[in-house]
Amino acid sequence: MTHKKKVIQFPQSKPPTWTFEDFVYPNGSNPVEAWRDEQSGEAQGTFESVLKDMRKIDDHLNWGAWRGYLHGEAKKHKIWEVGFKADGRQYRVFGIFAGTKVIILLAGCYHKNKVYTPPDAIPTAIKRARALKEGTGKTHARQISTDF
Amino acid sequence: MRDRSALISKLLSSRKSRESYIRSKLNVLLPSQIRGLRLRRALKQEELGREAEMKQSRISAMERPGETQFNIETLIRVAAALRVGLKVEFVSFSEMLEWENTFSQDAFDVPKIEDDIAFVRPQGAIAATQIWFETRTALDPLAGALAGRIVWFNSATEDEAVQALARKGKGYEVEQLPSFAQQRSTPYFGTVRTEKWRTQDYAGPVAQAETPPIGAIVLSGLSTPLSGGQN
Repeated sequence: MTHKKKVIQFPQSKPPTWTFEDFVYPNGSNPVEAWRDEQSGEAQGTFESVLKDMRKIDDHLNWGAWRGYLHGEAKKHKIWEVGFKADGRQYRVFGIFAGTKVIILLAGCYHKNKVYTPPDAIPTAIKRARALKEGTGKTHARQISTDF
Repeated sequence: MRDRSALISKLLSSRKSRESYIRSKLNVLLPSQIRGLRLRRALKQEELGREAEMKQSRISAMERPGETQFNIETLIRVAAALRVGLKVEFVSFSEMLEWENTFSQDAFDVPKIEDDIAFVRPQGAIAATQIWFETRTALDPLAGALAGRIVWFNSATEDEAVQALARKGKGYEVEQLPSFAQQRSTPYFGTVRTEKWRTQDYAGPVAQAETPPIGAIVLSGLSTPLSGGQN
């Protein structure tokens, strides 16, 4: 029996990935990016790595950084938090789901002994979620760089 | 691009920056591997903890980015509890970045020692590379998936065959039998979702009547020629 032989590279199947957007003010300023830029190199790097990790995990409940939905007023807006630790500090980032596989990042802060710093981090996230709902806030696609 | 240049110049000039960079990757990739393997094995944190003789809370912390400063001994314990090996290796920065870019917790899997044919039964590994692929369905151009079932032979068990195939992941040598060529004029293109392959039939969207074996997939490196018609 003769065989017709060929070699084919089968690509690995890739599950759909999450995409990230930052809350931005109508004037275009991006408070999420501004917050990120203020952090240490290790925190910035870990933040980037956490997002890279999250985007490829289909079920958000399986994200290692997932901390769950916030309570109180924030719960009404379905705001959740993810967290990571870098350079000895606990960081929290608040976000909401929007559409299919889209995440909007609202704000970032530190967290220690149940206290968020800045103390208005959650009210700020609520304000921004509300602004998005009311159309007074916008979003800007966050580039998750694979270069660094 | 500007960010990247700035980072590179920092990494080139500062050891502390290099440390931070390495730590930020490991902060995420180690927890994600542990979580990925535990979830794939359908273990609760408590169960993994019991196996590793650690508290559930410690396992939980190990799965959260940056929460645990791992030492080698801890990793050894976790690896042993998950029934896998551990490789600690110094690599280039580009390799580390590549690792991060390609790693996916959902897709990450490592065979348990008992399923690691190449380790526990090297002869079996050779047999398991001889795997027939029998299609019951046509290529699904929309899903880009090849649906069907794997038929194995020789001494390989079902698990061994699936494990061996899943481990390789990509780069198969495909031999088309004459019957395949006769039945199909289109070549064998498409994405094969190896992680979803089982020996059971798939309910593909374009399921058709059963057809005779029309192809064989041979894992890279197989030197034994296939003979047609075996099923």
